[in-house]
Amino acid sequence: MILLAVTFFVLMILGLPVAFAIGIAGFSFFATGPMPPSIGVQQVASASQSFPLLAVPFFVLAGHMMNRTGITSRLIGCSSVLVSWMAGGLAQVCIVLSALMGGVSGSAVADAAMEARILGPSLIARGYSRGFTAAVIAVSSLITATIPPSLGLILYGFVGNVSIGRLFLAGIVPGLLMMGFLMVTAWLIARRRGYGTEAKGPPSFAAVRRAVADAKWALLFPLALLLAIRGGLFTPSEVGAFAVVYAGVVGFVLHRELTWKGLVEALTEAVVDTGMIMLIILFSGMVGYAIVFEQAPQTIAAALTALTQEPVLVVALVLVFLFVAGLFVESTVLVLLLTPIFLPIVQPLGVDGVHFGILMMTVVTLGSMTPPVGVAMYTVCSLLDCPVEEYVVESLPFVGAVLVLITVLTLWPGLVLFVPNALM
Amino acid sequence: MTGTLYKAEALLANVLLAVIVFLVFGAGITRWFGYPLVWSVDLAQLLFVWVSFLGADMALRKRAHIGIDYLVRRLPGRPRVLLDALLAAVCVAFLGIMAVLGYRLTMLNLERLYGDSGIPYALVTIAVPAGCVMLASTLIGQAWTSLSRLRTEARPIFVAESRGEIEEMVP
Repeated sequence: MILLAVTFFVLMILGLPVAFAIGIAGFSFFATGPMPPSIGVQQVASASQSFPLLAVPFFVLAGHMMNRTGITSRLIGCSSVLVSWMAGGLAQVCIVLSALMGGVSGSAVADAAMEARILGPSLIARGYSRGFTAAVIAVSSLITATIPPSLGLILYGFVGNVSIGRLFLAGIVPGLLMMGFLMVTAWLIARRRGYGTEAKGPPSFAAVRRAVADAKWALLFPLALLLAIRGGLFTPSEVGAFAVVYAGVVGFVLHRELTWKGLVEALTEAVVDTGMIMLIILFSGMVGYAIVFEQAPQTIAAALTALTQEPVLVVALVLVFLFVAGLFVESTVLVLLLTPIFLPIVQPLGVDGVHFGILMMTVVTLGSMTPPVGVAMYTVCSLLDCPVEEYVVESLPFVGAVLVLITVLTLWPGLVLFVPNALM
Repeated sequence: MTGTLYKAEALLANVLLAVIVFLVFGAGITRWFGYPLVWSVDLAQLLFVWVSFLGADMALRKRAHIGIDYLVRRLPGRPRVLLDALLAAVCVAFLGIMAVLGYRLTMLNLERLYGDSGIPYALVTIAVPAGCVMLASTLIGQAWTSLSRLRTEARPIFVAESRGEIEEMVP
């Protein structure tokens, strides 16, 4: 186990892609340990044979199609009508757009990249500082990853054997709360700096109705998705396949904006993204086996419970550890490697797997928005040409707001759990 | 020649992904009407492992696999290429061993069938060695290009030149 961990970290720090670092580290366990290496190969093959995992390529593909079906542009129009009259209007638009996109897309980085390209330049042109613009766009993309469908929650449910349907339902309230927290933060900063509004006052009822009607197919999608999962009629993977077909129907028939070329591009991008995520998942199958074989959860649990038996404190300790790990390691990797370690530790203490999943996903995904290693941060900063130092200073209030929210959610599990408990 | 090969790879992966969507969609619909299609889901999962490896190879070619270049970015050009080449060699060795072991494992378990649908499970297992061979050959090609141009330019193996074109769907 020590050899495995050391191999992983050394290879990763030297710049080897994470998927290969995980593979070689996992293989080192089988090459030196009591189990024959062919078991390792078997683990890689069987890691792919999970039906819930099929939701990953489906929601990735649906997300790539959304941008080409006119759904994204209509959602931008909708959020601009709704909130651009507030102080820091364009920043508020970014935050609300992340929430609306959250209902059709499951990836924080994709949302951040889209907003940095489409909205970022207009924020800077209106006098918002580069750092503030980058921070609002990057941190608010965390909302997209929390509101269902969420790729992170699918992976967590897959490794931890937790109901993905319940996880999806549990993501709604935290996602909306996060939107509120970030909007208040942006409002406070905008007021102090005099970032203006885009309209004189709140929109008229007619204007809201027009914007909502224009974006109706995009806004209906998350409702249809939740209804399908809630009724237990369809599994998350089937809902993912529906999402692709839905995006196709909206793009080809209803909006008439999707072209054959666009569809092929979306497919290719989805295949590449799937390959990237799946190579990590496949190779981590070996590490997962090693973790169970070496009884790592039991060892760490013993050490943790020697410190404290109080469930809330144990969860808090785990979250602090995940936050620090998230600063350095990519979130997919953390979910795949650490869920099988930490979930068996907190579950016997009476912590709900769904509650813990929302907390864990939020904390590790936040790592994509913080230095030194953060994919969303680098993507937004490079697209907006913003120095990382400026980003870091300006993102502090937003990251702080998210941390406050995480504390609130940790202390009141009911906030997370009442929707799934009421509906499923 | 190689250009055609890449295009064929992308085309195959695209078609497979589209087929998977319709297999699962169809299975959902028919189950709803009370006729579950077991083979449809099994076939979807079989094709999925192939799409995964084809996609992983395409991502490798685009140098899109996520790595942490936070420290090595500070290295001067040539030492960094040499370090990358060393890591690539370790990687190729690993993929080679996986390919051999995977091939042997497949040959040992030829009779095993997939659940109830009668699809040979070997079609899943064989994807591992096949995928590892694809990844290894792509990696060898990239390392070769970088090393042979080392005199004139220092081009890292695992990371693309510009950071501007990152557009992944990572959670």
